[in-house]
Amino acid sequence: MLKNKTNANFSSLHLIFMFFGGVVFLFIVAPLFSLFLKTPFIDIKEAALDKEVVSSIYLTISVSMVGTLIFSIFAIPLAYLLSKKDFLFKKIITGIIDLPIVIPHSAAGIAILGIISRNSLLGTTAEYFGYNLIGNPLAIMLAMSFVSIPFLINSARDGFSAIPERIEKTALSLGASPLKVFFTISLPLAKRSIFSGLILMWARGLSEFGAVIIVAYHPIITPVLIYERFSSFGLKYARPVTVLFLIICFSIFILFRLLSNEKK
Amino acid sequence: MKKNKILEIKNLTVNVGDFLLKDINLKVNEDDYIIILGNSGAGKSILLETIAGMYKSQKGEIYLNGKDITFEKIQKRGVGIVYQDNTLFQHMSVKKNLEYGLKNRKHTKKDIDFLTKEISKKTNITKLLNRSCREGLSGGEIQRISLARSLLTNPKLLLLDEPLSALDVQAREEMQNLLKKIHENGQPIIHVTHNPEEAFALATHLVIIEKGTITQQGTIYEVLNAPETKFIANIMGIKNFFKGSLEKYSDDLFLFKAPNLTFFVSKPKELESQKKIKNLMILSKDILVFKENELEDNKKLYKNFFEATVFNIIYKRNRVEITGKLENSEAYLSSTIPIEKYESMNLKLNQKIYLGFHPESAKVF
Repeated sequence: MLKNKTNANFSSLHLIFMFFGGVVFLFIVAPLFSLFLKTPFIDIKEAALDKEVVSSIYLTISVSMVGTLIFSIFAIPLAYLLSKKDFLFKKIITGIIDLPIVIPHSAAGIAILGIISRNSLLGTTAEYFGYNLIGNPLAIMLAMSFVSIPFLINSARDGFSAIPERIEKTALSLGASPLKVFFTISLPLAKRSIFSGLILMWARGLSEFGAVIIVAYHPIITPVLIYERFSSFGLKYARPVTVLFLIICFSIFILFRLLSNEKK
Repeated sequence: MKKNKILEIKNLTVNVGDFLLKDINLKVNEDDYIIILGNSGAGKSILLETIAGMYKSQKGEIYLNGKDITFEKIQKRGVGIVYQDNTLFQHMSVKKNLEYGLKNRKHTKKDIDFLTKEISKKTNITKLLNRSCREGLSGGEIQRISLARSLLTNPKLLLLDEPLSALDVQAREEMQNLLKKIHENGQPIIHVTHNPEEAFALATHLVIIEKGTITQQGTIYEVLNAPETKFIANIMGIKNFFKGSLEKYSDDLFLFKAPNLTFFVSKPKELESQKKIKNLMILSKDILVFKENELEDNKKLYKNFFEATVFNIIYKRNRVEITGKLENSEAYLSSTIPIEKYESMNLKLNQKIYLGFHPESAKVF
């Protein structure tokens, strides 16, 4: 299982580390594994036929994906600037970008609610066009994106930082405009990190519960649905939805990972 | 015939972080191969990148083919640059790398194919065209591809930043020959390095940078003959270099007074020179080494005769360089003697020796 890169010499240190590592691994795997073991297949099948479950899974996955794609248009240029340029308050800005990761997600939900409520600028504008943002998929998208966008920015920034400046300078000296250098050199070279950031953002978005439940209980997303079934009917009823959601998310994940490895 | 001036830099000052490149003046003619020599951190790369447009200057002007390009964008300058590091675009094939600059200049596909093939032959990379840049290319191949990629854009001036430093001996020699050929075909080049060997092999003109300023420039012959600073003397392989003042001793003899040390020198030719502080150099081959038992025979033969201890011994092909630390002084003198003589002398470190040379061997300038 564990292969030393130079030779297969196991020291006692490696054995001790394997023990400690094994504890962590079990800690992650055991709850998930028991979840699958305790849920009869027939219940999962039933959940898959439940319209409310299916539409919530579809809503969760698609809203998170749309949010990720829309915000990536703004997040990638920001990540590029953060990796390549020095500017005033850069450290503070970098710190602020990580804020959504460290604040409680219910607090994030309250904050989002503040900018979309009826008396906010965004809210009144939407209302003018006949929309109510509260309880709208758009609100869910904002909540999901708010808590997950740091993952994309950080990953893309690391990707851009790994490109030696001299490669971009050389491209400029070969007559390409800065915009062309960005699209033909920087972006393709940082592709893997950006892709991995997109997946992380999307995954973090679709697993969000705290912020979303505050801005929109309905339309119901799967994490909220799981909570609702648990609090109204108990553990037994919450499990099938949970397992189904996990299976679908895992499958999409693995598919994306395979795709990104193939591109390599 | 008057030579065409390609590049002219006037009073250039560039500030990058804590580093200051100041009052740079430089001219490059169409048939020049300029080597800029300096230690790491001397400002060679910053000068090169300023010419390429990557740093803004605080003062001064840069002219390329007579046109002021001080504030011109990098992509509009028409200057090519090749670095020591691998700057190939890893996500493209070798061929796509070569085509990159031509596509930016909107050449037709037919032109691109023709030019790419032609340069590949010249730089011996035809076999590599379909390879990916991600793996399997040697250091020499990477540099030849980078060079070809830059040449394809037909640069008015080619800038090379330590292009040979990451190469092994054989690849370095191949690349050196290639650079020579490219220069002979009419490509003006500025090549930055810390290695004097590259200057001896390639340069028509030498520029030496120390701590952000140019301390000397000229042909190799000029620099070798009269190095301006201790550093320059050192990199040119001149070990015995002193700064001091001149005093008359007799009709045809003068005293050269360096700190803690005085030499007898012949009457300099250009005595009228106004410089107060003079340079003195003695070629290592003109200094002789004697052991204690040879003292009495030679002491009177040499006007300059010093007691010393052996400080260092280095083989230099068919000669051996003996460096002696002079008695009662912090100074050192180096002598190179034929290897056969060294073997017969049986010298050891810290052994007492005598070093002697004639006044006419010392050159004052």
